[in-house]
Amino acid sequence: MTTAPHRLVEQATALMDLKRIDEARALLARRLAEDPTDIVAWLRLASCHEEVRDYQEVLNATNQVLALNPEEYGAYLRRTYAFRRLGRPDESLAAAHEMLRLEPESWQSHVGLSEALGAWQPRWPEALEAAATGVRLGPDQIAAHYALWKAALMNGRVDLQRQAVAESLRIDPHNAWALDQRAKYAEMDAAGPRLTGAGARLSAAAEALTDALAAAPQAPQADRQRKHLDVAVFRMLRGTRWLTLLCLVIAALAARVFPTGSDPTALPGPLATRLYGLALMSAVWGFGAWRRYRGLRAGVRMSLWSLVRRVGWARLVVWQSVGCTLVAVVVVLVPWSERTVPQVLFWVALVPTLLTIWFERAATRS
Amino acid sequence: MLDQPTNTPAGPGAGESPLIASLRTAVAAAPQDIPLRLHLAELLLGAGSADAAVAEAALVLSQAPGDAQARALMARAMAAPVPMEQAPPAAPAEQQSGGFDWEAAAREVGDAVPPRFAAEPDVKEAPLTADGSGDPGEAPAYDVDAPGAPGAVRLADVGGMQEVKDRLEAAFLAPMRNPELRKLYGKSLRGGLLLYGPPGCGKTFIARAVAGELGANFINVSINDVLDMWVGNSERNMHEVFETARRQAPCVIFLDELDALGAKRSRTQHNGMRNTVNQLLTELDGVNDVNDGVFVLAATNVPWDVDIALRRPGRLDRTLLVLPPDGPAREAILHYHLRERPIESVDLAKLVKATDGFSGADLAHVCESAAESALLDSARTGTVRMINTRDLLGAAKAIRPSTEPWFAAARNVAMFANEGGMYDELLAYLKKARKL
Ligand SMILES: Nc1ncnc2c1ncn2[C@@H]1O[C@H](COP(=O)(O)OP(=O)(O)OP(=O)(O)O)[C@@H](O)[C@H]1O
Ligand SMILES: [Mg+2]
Repeated sequence: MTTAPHRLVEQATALMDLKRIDEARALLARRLAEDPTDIVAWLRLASCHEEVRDYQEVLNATNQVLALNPEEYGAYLRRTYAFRRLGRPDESLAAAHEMLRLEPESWQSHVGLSEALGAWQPRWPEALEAAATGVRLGPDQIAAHYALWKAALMNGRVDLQRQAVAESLRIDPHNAWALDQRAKYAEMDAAGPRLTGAGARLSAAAEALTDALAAAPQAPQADRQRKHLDVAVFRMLRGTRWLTLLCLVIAALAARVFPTGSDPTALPGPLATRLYGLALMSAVWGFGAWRRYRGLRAGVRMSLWSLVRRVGWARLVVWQSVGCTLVAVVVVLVPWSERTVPQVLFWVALVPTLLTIWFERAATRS
Repeated sequence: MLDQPTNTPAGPGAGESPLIASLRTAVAAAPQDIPLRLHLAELLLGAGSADAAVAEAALVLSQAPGDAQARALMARAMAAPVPMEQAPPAAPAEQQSGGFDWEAAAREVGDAVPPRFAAEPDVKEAPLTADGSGDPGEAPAYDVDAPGAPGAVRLADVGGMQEVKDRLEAAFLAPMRNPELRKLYGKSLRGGLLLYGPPGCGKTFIARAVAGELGANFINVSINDVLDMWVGNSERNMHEVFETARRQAPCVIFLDELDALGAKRSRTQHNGMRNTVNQLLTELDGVNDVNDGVFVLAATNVPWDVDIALRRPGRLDRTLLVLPPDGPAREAILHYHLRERPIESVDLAKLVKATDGFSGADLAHVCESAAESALLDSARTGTVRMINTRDLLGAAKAIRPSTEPWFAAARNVAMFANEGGMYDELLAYLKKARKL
């Protein structure tokens, strides 16, 4: 057995770390042309093939390894996954058992076994068990936590899934997969028609998404994350319409737009009441929107404006909010002497807004 | 149409000598092998299949437009004894309205009879084709005492990109050329500048131009040197680079593909790689002003994969965004790629307008595929025609700027990972370009 890997193999390993697979493969091919008995080079080559999902080639490369040394652990490791991806579960399981025979105390052996067992639904509980053993043996290995997460997913163990993600983030706060999962959980928490508390959950989801995007800006999932971020900020934006409707109601009450009781009160409403209504409206906006907006992360705020710029419907929401609030201000500030005009204003502001809210709900439900 | 002599079948098969047949198979197996294809064309010509030879030579020219042998062969094939009803060989170009005199082209590259560029006086074009450089209107300030080797790329060859040039000038070129200036402004020459931007937009090219200006005072550290550092004694390697630079001060060290040399240490298990980054940090910091007069220029298209420690003050603390080539730059690039191709009244201004957002590599691709379509067209109809504006515009339309995915990722970092204003320049650009 060789002790230190050959120079070319070392370089290839580094290139693989940088995901420069083609260059790594070229170096390994050069090395293997020189010395076709370099086991490490064959194993790295198998990893390269695995990286580009060429599993048949993984088998070919590891065949070479096993011809040189039938007890080579790394070969069985690669083959466990390659067979599984190729839909050859029995061979996958056999390879995993070889791993366990050669290195029973290695976390990778148990993680591999878990992966192989995943092929049979009745054996999913066993897969979960194997993954848990893997995590116990390799508590600082993200791959082990990932295996546990996957097995937990198959077994419907949401608690374990979330725990595995949290553990992975403890090991590497910038891990792209774990950040993506965390964002999904945050989105789930913020989903559903909830009347209260949605705001904080929405901004948590948006922030989790921006974390994931910052950590892996080029990842294949980035597109989806951007879309989901748009959805989250749109829901925040949409929330402002409830504030404007509240303002409208406050204005109508303070300005006595609708006769109340059997004895219609005199017009115009007292200035003090109307100013009080105005103050209430400012408070609604200040606490309901402005403070929340200030509390958002810069990236989320930017996404909000980006959405308004790109999406017409988002602009409509903004204009509706602004328009309704202006109507409310006019209703409350002008000393009306009769009710028709403020009533018309009230309905003109209220009805389209309610209609679009209803329309949106119907559209998101379908 | 070049009519076929009755005794030479067009395609492979009956009547062909076994040698030609086997060469055909070989060429089909290795379509990129230019010498092989030329050999086949030669044999075809010898066997009297002039049109088949033209087609093969055309294919070679579509791969290697400048290939002298292919041009000569094409000229001979066009002039070969052709069937009786064909016009006399090597007809003067003026007489064939759409034709092309390959012999003349072979004699005098780039001096075909029809105007090469539409709406452009020949005078303006002459210096461009003479030295292959763009933007002749710009007076290079570096010519005076630049030690660059003849034939090297110079900053004057970098078309457009005035802002980038200005920034380079201010960051290190001016202080380097003028030690008095350095003293006057108390501006020491040290620290570093990181060029970043979408792939194929001229970062390496600009650095090469800087090298052309600085000659021996420019040290290039390429990915191959980095590969050696990973396995060898990176301490000594990196140290040697910096020692050489210190001896030659004022000196610029260029680190291309910094994402490889200075990869995030947290992302790799590879010891050699981590050591290299550590050593680079040590050398960048230097002690006791040893780095006075040493300037580090680096380039990458994935700045977010560069170890954050490398961006701390005193190290590569300044950044410069290299965007897709602007109008003048595109013009220079297109000029360069069309310089050896048979073109005819090409409306460069129109083409420049149609290629906004294209990278240098995209523009090369446009020229290539325009040439290909023109040549395939020629092979099909048998009339060799030149590349025209339509071919080029068509090719440009068929290509989406390869920089788009980069901007999608860049948008994510600019919006969500802009710690310390690292990507402010990018953010400002995205805002202005309405790409946010
Ligand atoms: N301003 C310019 N003037 C002339 N040619 C240019 C210009 N910009 C780019 N080019 C051309 O584009 C080609 C590609 O540029 P270059 O290789 O420098 O890109 P890069 O930014 O280093 O890309 P990567 O990030 O992929 O390394 C160059 O070889 C050069 O011919
Ligand atoms: Mg480059």
